[in-house]
Amino acid sequence: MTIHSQNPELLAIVQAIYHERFGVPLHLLNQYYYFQRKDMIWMSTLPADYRQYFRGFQMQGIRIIRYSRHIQKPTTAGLQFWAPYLRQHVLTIDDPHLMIQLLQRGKLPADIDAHLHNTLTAWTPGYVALAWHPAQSPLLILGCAQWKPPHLTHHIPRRRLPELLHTIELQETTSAEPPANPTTHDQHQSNNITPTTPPCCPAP
Amino acid sequence: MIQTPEPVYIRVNTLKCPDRQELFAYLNTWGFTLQPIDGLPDHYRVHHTHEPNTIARTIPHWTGWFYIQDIASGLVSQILNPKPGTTLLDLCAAPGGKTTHCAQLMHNQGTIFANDIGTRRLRALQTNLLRMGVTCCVVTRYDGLRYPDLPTPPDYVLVDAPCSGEGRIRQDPKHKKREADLHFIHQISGKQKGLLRRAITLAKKGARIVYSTCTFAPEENEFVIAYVLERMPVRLIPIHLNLPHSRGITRWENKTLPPEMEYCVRIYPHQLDSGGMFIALLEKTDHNNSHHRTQTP
Repeated sequence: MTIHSQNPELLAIVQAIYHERFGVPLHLLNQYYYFQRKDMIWMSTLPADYRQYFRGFQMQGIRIIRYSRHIQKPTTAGLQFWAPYLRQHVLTIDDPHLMIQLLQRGKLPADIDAHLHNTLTAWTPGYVALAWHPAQSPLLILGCAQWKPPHLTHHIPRRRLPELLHTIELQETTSAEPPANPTTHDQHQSNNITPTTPPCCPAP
Repeated sequence: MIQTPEPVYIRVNTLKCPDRQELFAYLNTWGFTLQPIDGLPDHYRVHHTHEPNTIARTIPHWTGWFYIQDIASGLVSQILNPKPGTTLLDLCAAPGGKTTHCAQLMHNQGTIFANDIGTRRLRALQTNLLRMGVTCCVVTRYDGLRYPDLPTPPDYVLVDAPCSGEGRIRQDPKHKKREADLHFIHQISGKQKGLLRRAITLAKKGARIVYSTCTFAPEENEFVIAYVLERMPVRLIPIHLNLPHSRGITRWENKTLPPEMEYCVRIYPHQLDSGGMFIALLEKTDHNNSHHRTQTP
């Protein structure tokens, strides 16, 4: 069983993206171990590389960087994992219509929207974390996008895109109707959380 | 009760959700209200004004802030209760509800070996591990009966065995057909015994082993436990639950089972308004001496 010490080369790549571009603190990134498998860098809390141990090995940890034509790109899983620590290059979109357009078309010209334009042109080109923050919603990191003037291109994984698009479309449709008023729910008037104990029942 | 659809329950993913009040407020905006389950931390019953499954179509679900999980399933990991920094083997892990719950209980510290055999099921497991932000897990693909020895024997083993699925009738009515299929039940119970035997062999001395199924058939539950108690170095540990439940049975079709079978737990759908579940908690001992196989409650 090979026990890895930290791989300095992979760590440097991770730091260049997640610390320098997105502001994730170095001491947090340094707590993990990084492994390269084909075109991916994986992040794990486990120092040992179990690929060498198991013939039936499938994966270890979460993938955080993908090599795409010799360029390293942050992954959706990586950006979502580090979401609470992203300090810069977080592109917030709160307009469902604009988000749907981006997801459907794949890329948008930055000047399609004033907020988008003002934000992106203030940044150096490169990868950005795509965040969803409509009214009454916490800020949610959806994944990666690329700012390459004059376009913004999203990099949400193809396999997960239909589900995300459907979700945002559903929310846009629902937001056209008045949202359900929580105060109309019977036992949840003052707070939406009500402790309960299920009734005790005899065995059948 | 069995004819009514099962309510939706979620488990808040403490590995990812930074502030559960924010999550609740968001879901509330979309017509979902959440009711905590006493005795099962992080689990909530979802009340909704929309159709039942639309909570799966919310962005926090997509980003892994919560996992849709029946509370009967949630009890399994809670009973095993793996500690941070320990090693856990989940022999039949897909689609990953119990695995991700264990990772949450371990605060992503320690090692989880999550195994399954089906390609499609493994894909679901991997997607869920990535979505839920589990960094301490190694996924493998083996027939659980032939799982290789681990570099360090695990402190915890979870065997959520494949079963006839009678407890899932409310989720999936096709399981009603299997209810009376005794041939299938006898066939699957052989596999269950083999899986549990392999799990016990792999575990370290003193390890905790949870055996669970989502079925009511005693041949797949108490009889499997009785089988390993006779042959393997394990004893049953009593499960103490502060939720409505039934104890394991000690008689079935003129056959008598060991009295300690009452240490096991059966969850019937009417008790928690959930699916059905059988859970046994075992501890690996030095040798399979029947005098040492139980612990006084």
